[in-house]
Amino acid sequence: MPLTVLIVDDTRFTRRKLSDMVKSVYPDTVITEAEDGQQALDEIAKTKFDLMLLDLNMPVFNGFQTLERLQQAKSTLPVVVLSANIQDKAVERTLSLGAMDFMGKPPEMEKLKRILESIVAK
Amino acid sequence: MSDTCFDEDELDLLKELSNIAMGRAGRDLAKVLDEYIELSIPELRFVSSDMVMATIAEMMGGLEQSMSVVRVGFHDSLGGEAIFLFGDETWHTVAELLADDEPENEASERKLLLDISNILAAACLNGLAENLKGSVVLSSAPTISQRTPASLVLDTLFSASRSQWTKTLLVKISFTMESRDFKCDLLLFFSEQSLEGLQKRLRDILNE
Repeated sequence: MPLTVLIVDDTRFTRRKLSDMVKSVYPDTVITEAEDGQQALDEIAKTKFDLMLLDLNMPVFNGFQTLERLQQAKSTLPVVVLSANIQDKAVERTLSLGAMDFMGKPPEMEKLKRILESIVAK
Repeated sequence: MSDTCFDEDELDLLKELSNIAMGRAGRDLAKVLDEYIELSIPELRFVSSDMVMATIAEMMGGLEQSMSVVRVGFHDSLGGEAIFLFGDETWHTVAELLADDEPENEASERKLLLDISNILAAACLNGLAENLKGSVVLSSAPTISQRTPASLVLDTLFSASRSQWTKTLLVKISFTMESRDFKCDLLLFFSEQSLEGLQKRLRDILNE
């Protein structure tokens, strides 16, 4: 079964870049994109994903609100937050809301590769 | 008049690079103040010189309120001006967070606001220039107007330079605190002359 990844970011550039990075590691990955947290939650309701890459600073539902909704729903979806907001308190808050990891922007290929490998290994 | 016209992909990329630069600025300010800084989503607009005041007023939700305004010029690969608009009570919050023992007067307010502007301008502009594979030099003499209606300060500022440009790009970024009286809006104006170079750098990144 190919890996299924949901990429949530309000900029096309980052969604494309992350999609290219993921596919450079696992070319068969099925990527779904969402522009904000609400779209992401709608996609999660329809499809089972192996991983979500989630931005924080977005319109409608931001990343924190999206994580809160997932936590309330007792979701087991692995979430990696990828954000320009690299304040220590932002990192702590995302991890306390259930994110498995945090990456600052711009994304690092090596770290993303390690994360994808750990998801596949499970 | 510049005929530079950015397409959607270029503006989308510049928004993301501004977001990354703002994130670094937020981190640096949060370290200094030991307080979490709320970051806005960057807003980008092209503005003509005759519409600049109306555009800023719309983006700021009005300009009649009293503010302190700091202006920092920048040049090199990117050129333009960074204009910081601080809410009147912001400096009290900063002084409190820094446990500043200085007496509360115009001079200490001025010093604190210039310090905050320098931290944000350095992180934001260096971060943006670095992500665009360029460099930037900040002017060594920022100017400040304290507790004045923002419309008055900005009108004076732009009336002096309005004849020198016709269209430019404006990026608005806001830094706030959830539980304290801290508000700083940053308006980044790229000079008309630097738009072509900026667009070329954006295209190069998109084509990588």
